[in-house]
Amino acid sequence: MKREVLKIDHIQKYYGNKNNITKAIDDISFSVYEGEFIGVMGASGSGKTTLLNVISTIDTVSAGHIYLGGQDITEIDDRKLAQFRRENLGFIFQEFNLLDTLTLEENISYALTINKVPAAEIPGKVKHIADKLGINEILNKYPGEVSGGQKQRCACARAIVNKPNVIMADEPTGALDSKSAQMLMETLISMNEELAATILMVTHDAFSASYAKRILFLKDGKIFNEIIRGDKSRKQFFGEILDVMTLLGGDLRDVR
Amino acid sequence: MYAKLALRNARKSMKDYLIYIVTLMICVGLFYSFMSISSRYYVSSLPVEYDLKLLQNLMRYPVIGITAVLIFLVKYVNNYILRRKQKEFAIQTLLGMEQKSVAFLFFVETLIMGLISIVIGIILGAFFSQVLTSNIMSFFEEEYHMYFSLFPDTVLITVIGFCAVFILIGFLNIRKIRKMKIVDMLRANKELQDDMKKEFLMPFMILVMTAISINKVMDGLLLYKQYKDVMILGSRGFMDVVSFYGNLILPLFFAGTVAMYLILCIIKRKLLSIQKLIIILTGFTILIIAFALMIVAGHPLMDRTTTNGAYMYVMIYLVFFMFAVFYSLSTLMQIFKTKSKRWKYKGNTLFIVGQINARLTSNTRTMSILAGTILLAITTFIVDPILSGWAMGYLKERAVYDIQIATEGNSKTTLNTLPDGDFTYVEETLEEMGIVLKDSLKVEFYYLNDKEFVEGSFEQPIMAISLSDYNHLRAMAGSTQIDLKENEFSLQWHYSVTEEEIEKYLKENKTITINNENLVQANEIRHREKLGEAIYSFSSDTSVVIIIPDILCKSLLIGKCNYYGNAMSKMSYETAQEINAALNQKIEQISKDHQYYTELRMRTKQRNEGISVALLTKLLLFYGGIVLFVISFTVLSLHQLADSSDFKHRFQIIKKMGVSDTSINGIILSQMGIWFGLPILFAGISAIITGRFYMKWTEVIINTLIGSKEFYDALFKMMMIIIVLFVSYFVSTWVLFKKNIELY
Ligand SMILES: Nc1ncnc2c1ncn2[C@@H]1O[C@H](COP(=O)(O)OP(=O)(O)O)[C@@H](O)[C@H]1O
Ligand SMILES: [Mg+2]
Repeated sequence: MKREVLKIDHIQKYYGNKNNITKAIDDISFSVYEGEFIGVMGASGSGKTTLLNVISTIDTVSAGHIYLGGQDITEIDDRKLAQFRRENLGFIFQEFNLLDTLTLEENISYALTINKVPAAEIPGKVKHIADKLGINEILNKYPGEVSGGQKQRCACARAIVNKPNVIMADEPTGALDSKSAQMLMETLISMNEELAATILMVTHDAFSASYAKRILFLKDGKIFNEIIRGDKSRKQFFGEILDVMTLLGGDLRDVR
Repeated sequence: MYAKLALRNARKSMKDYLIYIVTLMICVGLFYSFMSISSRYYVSSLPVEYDLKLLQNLMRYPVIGITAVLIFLVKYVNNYILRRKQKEFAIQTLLGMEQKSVAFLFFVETLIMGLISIVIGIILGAFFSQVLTSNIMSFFEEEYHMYFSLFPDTVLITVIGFCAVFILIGFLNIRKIRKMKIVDMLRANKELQDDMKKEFLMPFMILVMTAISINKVMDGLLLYKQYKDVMILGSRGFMDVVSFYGNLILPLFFAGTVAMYLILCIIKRKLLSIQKLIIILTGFTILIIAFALMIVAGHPLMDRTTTNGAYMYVMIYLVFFMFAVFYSLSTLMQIFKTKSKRWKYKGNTLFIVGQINARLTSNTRTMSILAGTILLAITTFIVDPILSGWAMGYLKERAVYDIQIATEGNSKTTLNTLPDGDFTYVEETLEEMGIVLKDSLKVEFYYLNDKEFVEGSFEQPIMAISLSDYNHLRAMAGSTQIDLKENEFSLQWHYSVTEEEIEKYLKENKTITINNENLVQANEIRHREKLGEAIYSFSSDTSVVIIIPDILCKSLLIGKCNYYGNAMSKMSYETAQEINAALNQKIEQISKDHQYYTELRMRTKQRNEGISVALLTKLLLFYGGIVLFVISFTVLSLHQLADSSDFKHRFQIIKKMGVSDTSINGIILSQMGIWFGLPILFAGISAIITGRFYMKWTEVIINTLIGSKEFYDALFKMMMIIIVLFVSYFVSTWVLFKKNIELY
């Protein structure tokens, strides 16, 4: 059995006041193992982003516990949170989350710098990861000068360069055309398979989700279903996902 | 219905408008308070001998003129708001509102905000006006108790003036919004930036500076010829040689570099980037300034023209430096990033440099102009205490007696028409006017011997006064008596005579001879009592009077005769004016027959006019300085607060990446510190250089008329005002910035 990297234990998250409570997350539990590639699917408003936010310590849970690498992150001192985040987590988000004031190379280096990697090692590490993800040619450009897909690949490079325990991706293909989306998903797969990155990806897009090894379906803040790819081909898996989505109900029409 | 909508909109975007209101409030408040001094209703509890009319009349138009500069700021802040609201306009238009109505709505909104700021501004101004008044009263050495009151005429002119400005700008905006395309509205709330279309300013400046550099080389050659021999022999030989060659070669390099660039351009048949050129030139500029300063600092052998000329060069190169440094800064940072891996990959340097750089590249010209403006403002604040202190000190020097009349020979005077010392008309006039004198004195000044009187000469020699007259004058001025032995003489000096000049005179005149009698220098020979300026000859080289024992005076030729009078009670300004007119009339009649000068001075008039001029200088320079500071600090602050959504996004990203809150606070502080600090740093350094020079230039005045302690106290006060102003701008920008980017 692989090491358990992340354990979600009966977490809940409420928004609002006494009169008007939204249960964004309503008692969710699951585990993520080392080297896994998990997809979380659900309609808009089903609580995906909230789930990601509480795991990434950007938001706090209302109840329950989250263990990352054995440590209960719901109990971590506020002052240590930032350090915890930069040492354990990598992020890829829907909006292109690169710093527009820095070149791609600097964006990746900056992630290493804030992790206090010695300056001498930084150029080498950046080059290594850029080679892997095929963005070597454009390292000296600014985000404004490259395509959306290239930006997302740079975001991937930045997320993985610190070798985090888990990489969190929130709708990474959300703003991409289908060709770029496919290329990005292949990048993620190679990160997962070749660089042994553990990935937790949130999406409402069945095509992107079909690249994952295991999928959790959320509905109204609860886990509604779970499917595993196993030895199935990606096409078969894609079909299976669509079936579950039909089951989930009509509010998930925007599939590709 | 639109009014309601506008009101609701205004309430909603209060945070956006906060800056607008605060800026306008400060503008209105400043204008109101300075304008209130010239109000008809401005009542100050001044005693009868003072009258503020003169000051009020002189103040009015300059204040309005200076305020006109503020319109620029109002327009700038308005543009900022306009840019921030463009998305909102787009949505309103998309929802089907006519663009005409959108524009009108914005107009009403800004007008409401403008009116609010006028109201608050006037109240603020009324308070500030009281602070100003208590300062004015301290000039007149009067107590003052603050109270609150509004002056209808000032309120009216403030309201009308500012409303006119708002409406004018408003109409310009309406036109602008009506012409806008929706796409542009959606896109255009980016950067507050200069139009970077084609940059002509910098190439132009470089060419001008090249010409100036060539000129400086010429000057350097002249200087070299002029001083070569003396300097090489001098004790500071080595430094002098360095200074000379530096001043010669560096401008040559400057011009040479530009020439080389032009040649390269011709060879390659295209315009090469001037970025690197500017960096090199900036370097040369710094060196040129440093070397020119070595000349300014002076050498005992150099004359005023040389040092002043060098100073002009310092000023010109400083201005160029101010522009060049901001142009080269972003290039320099680029180079720094590629060259220095160690610093680049340390902490948050990368991020901060990125933030600054993004801003800088689109705002270089604004930054240069801001630095220049701040320099001007600081200079104003340094010059202010010098000039106003000068005027006040000079006043104390000369307004010592209620009435002073001086008569003195001129080029038309013959031996028979020398001043006769007949002042009976004065006493007659005073009696007619009902002025009772407490004390009066006729003082005679003598040529040291008859030969000193030269008919037709424009110049008068140094004259002598008898000890008893001198002591009487001192008594009337309220000071102690001096003693003199029979074979001694002493000297009374004008404030402007420097210690070196005194030393020189004393060395050359160890003794003086009067009627074959030799007089030696008394122990106390540096009297600088404030006895008015009438005792010195109008037209002599050195302003000094020789004090000699009474008996020696008997046989001497009188060359100058003065009348002094102190009244029993204080003279009101009006009475003083009347007496002045009456006496001047008589003097005119008399001088028809007599060929000599007559000068009349009345204390009440002197004080009124002197204080008015001093106050005018003080208030206008202060107002001008404050206006410049407010403009530059507001623009700097807006640079930070504009595009807060971009900033917010960036900070969100780095926070997710695991940058801690304390680090983020640090980043914000250093980013703002650099942004505010750079122009202030450059302006401050330049101000110190230029300020030092002004102070050196007016050293005598500072030491004698103002008093160096008083001067430095005043200077310190001014610097404190700058610091308080800066800190409050910095802190409020910081707070707003943090609010703007509030995470999650
Ligand atoms: N900050 C918040 N305050 C109040 N309600 C929120 C907040 N964030 C999310 N919600 C609510 O929580 C639910 C889940 O939101 P979210 O996690 O963003 O869903 P998803 O990412 O799946 O679209 C939604 O009903 C949303 O309205
Ligand atoms: Mg979401």
